Formats: sequence, C-alpha cells, structure tokens
Amino acid sequence: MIGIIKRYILVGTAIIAGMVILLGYFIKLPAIDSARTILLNWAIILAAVALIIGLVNLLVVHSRKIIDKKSGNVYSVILLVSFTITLLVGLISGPTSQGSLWIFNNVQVPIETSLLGILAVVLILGAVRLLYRQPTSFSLIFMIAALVILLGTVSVPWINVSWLSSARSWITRVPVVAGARGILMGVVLGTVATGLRVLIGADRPYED
Amino acid sequence: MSEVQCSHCGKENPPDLEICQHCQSPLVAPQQPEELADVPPEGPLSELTGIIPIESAVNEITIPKPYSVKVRVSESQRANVRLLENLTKEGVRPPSRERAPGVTIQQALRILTAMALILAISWGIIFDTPSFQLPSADARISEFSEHIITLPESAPVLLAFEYEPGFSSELEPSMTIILDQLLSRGAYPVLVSTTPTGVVQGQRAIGLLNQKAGRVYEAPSDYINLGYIPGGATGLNSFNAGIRSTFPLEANGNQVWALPPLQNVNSLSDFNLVIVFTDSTETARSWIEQVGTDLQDTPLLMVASAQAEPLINPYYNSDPRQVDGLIAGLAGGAAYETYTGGMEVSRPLWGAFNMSVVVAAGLILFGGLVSVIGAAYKSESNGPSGH
Repeated sequence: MIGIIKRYILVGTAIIAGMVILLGYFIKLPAIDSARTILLNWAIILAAVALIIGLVNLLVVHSRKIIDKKSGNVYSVILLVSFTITLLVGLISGPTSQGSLWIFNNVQVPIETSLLGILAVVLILGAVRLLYRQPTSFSLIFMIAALVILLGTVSVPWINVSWLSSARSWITRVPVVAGARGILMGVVLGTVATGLRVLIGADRPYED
Repeated sequence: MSEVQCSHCGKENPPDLEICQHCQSPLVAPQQPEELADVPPEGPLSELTGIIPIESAVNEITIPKPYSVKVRVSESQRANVRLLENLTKEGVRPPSRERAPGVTIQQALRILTAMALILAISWGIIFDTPSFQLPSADARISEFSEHIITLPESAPVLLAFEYEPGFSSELEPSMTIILDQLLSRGAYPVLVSTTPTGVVQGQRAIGLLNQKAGRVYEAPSDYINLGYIPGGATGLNSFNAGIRSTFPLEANGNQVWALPPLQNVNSLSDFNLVIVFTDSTETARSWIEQVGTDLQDTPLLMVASAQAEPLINPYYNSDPRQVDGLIAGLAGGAAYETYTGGMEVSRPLWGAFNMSVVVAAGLILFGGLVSVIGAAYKSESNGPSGH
C-alpha cells in the first residue's frame, strides 16, 4: 500500500513539474512563471549539490585507494593534495583571487593545452595509419577532406589557392552540417519521445 | 560442484545454469541428498534428523512438467549468448602485449611527428613571418563589430565564458580585442559561465587585457563576475527565467543589482548585448535555445572554436537570425583584428598556426602516400588471394 502511494506521489510530482515547465514556454501567466522559476531554482540547487556529492565521492574513492595501498595510489595522493590546496585557496581568498588565478594559469591551462597538443600528434598519426589499415575509397575521401580543411584555413602565400578556401567553406557548410543535422534530428526525436514518456508516467527513471 | 550433463545433447554444463549452453534445452539438476534431510517440524518424529519426511515427499510427487518445447535459437544467437556469458563470467581483459625492447616504430613516428610540429610552431614564433597575411573579414565579422561599436555608454553586456582552458589560445585573441572594445567604450561587462572553470576563465581574460593594454580594469567599477550557473541547460533556463533570483550575489559574495549599470536589468533582454565564447556546439545550442528565444531585440553574438563553427553557422544563416554575429577560431580572431585594427594579439600566433597546419598537412600527405604504397606492397606479397 505504502509502495503504491509512494509511486503515485513520485509520478504525480514528476508529471506536474514537467507540465509546469513545459507550459511556461507556451503560456505567459504570472502564476506559472513563478512556479517555473521556483522549480528551476530547485533544479540548479540540486545540480550544485550533485556536484558536491561527486567531489565527496571522488575524495572517498581516492582515500580508499591510499588506505588499501592499491597500485597507482601515488596519483591519488597527488590528487588529494592538489584538491586540498585548490579548495583552500578558493575558500579563503575567493574563486577569482590572485591565488586561484595563479593555479589556473600555471597548472590547468598548460596541462589542458598540452593534452590537446598530444591529440594533434595522435590524430595526424591516426590519419596516416588509416590508409595503411583500411585502404578504401572512404578512407581516401576522409584524407582528402582533412587536407582541404587544413590547407583551406591557412594563408600561406605559396599554397594560398582560392579554390581551397572555397572547397573548405563548402565542406563545412554542406556535408558537415547535413551529417550533423541528421544526428541532431535523431537526438531531438529521441529526446521528445523520452520527455513524453516521462510526462505521461510511462517511463519512471526516478523509481530506480 | 560437478558439471551437469544435458539430457538432450549429452554435453557438460556449469552447475549454475538452468538452460543448456550448447542446445538451449532445460537442464534438470541432480537432486542433492541434503534436500531430503529435512527436520520434521511436528509429530512424533519432530526434531529428529536424518529421516525421510514422508508427507512432504509424497506431497511433492507431481506429474513432471512437460519440457517438450525446445527454444528456437539461431547459431548467431547462441554465439551471442556464449559471448555474453563469457563477458559476465570473466570480465573483459585487455590483450597483453609483450613490448619489444627499445623504441618501436610507432613510438619513433610519434616522436618525429611531435618534433616536426614543435619545430614548425617555434619557427613561426621566433621568426617574424609577415608573409602570412591575416585573413580578411566576412559579413559575420563586420556585423559582429557593428553591434559593439553602436553600444551606448554604460550599456550592460552579458559575456558567457563557456570554453575549456585548453581552447584558451584559440579564443583569447578575439576575446581580448572584444573586451578592449567594450571597456574602452564604457560598456559594463557582466561575466557568467555554465562551466566550473568559466568563472576563472573570465577573470583571466580581464587580466590578459590589463596586461596587453596596460590598463587597470577592476570589479565592480568596470565589470562584474557573477560566477557559475550549475545545471547546464536547466541552469540556463533558470537564469533566463529569473536572473536576479539565480544570482542574488556575485562570485565573491557581494551585492550586484544595486550597482548603477545593473539597476534596470531585470531580465536578459535588458542587456544591450549577449556574447557567448564557446568551444562546444552543445553549449552554443543551449544558449540559442534557452536564452536566445527570449532576448527580443538584444543581439546574441558568438565567438566559437573552429570545431563548433559548422553547427553554429546555420543559426547565423537562418531567417530570422538566431545568432547575429559569429567569429570562429583563430582565423576568425585574426580577421576581426584586421577589420577593427585593434591590438595585435592574433598576429604573433598566426605565423606559428600557419606553419604548424602546413607541416601537419604535409605529414598526412606524405604518410598517406607511404601507407598506400605499403598497403599495396603488403597485399601483393600476400599473393593474389589476399591471404
């Protein structure tokens, strides 16, 4: 009995919340707007709490690795020390202070930029190996498209051919957009179907 | 426990299976002697062990269930069942590779590629390369600039910093010029972000401008950093629905809405301009869908990474426009610099960018040719059958 009541409360809450947010897009009524704003504010508070729970979970997982002396626990030590320092600097002097900026400029930006640099090397080698592993017409098309995009972007005097720039523009405006739009349409249809299922109570992910 | 033999095909099966993994027929496990050694709960033989419980045994004698229907399973389905069983039993183990001593060909290629790129970038940075002309501006860039130069004094402008730190060098040249244009015209930038690093990213941008322009722009007199909006698209929706309730305070906990440039700002459409700096199509789409639809006459401008450009461009080309101006990638930043004649921030990077792109293209072309020849040679040496 309690289970049935609990289910009705959960389904009712989800449907009402979803309908209020959805109606807010179509009907401009002060009551709906206020309810929508309150619900959305709750949602972002929950999202922020989820972020904090994620951080706590990260700390617990890595603390366990250190206590259990698992392999690679030195990285967990580095993570915990870095986390503590960053958190303390942020809490004491603020997220936009000189200390936070120093950490950001001298640790995070160089590391993430270096990772993208490594990605460039890996992608170049991947493109080269593609023709060796799969010497098909599609691989050739992929390779030619990559070269046109790269060379059509730059303005080196001795390869600054106007058709390269036009070809790059055509590739990015027609086939790329067509393919991406196709994927997006699929995503949109899936999202609408999932949203409707939640709204009518056919799908209840919050019960798990 | 011992293996269970299937009565249908006669093959051995693990004891915990109920269906034969070879022919999918139901398996009947041999009855264990312990099952008969129940202790009678009542009667004259109660609490005695090692006896056969006659009543329950008699009650359990029933007509056997007719397992006559054989599950129709194709060979591919059996293979999938076996695959699933193997996965759930043993887990996935990565194939162990024995590493050859010394540097392998792959490692050597990676090192050579990295060195070629580093050399190209260094050449572009160290030596002045005026031969690499900055690209010319297109309509998207001229319209972008038009929206900025027509701003009134003390106009509140919303700036969203929605990119990861790795994309800083691609977006910062155009961002520095835009910030300089805004602040030198007396506009009042309001910084926000839906990414946790965006709060610091915005502060870094102001710091870079102060350093390059030799000025001291400070919060809250020249700009304000509202901070992080959690919740992605939902957070943006909430921000759009109630800007003051979402941000009662700024990032460092100070009051915001009493500041003179923001006193009349009650919704996002009260800003004179909204500019989004992003490296991701998803974030751009969230801003266009969650915020752009309610902006009314306020223009929405985008400064995007080159990787996000193809999917943002249709929003610029739509009628009516959903994006009113677009600067894409380092090339777009360089074109914007040419068009506005502002600070030289793209020029030092443009040569290095060009050199590295040409070297990357050369490596792909050369490596691709070698690969095609190598693949042709391999297939020839394997014989006409290709085996």
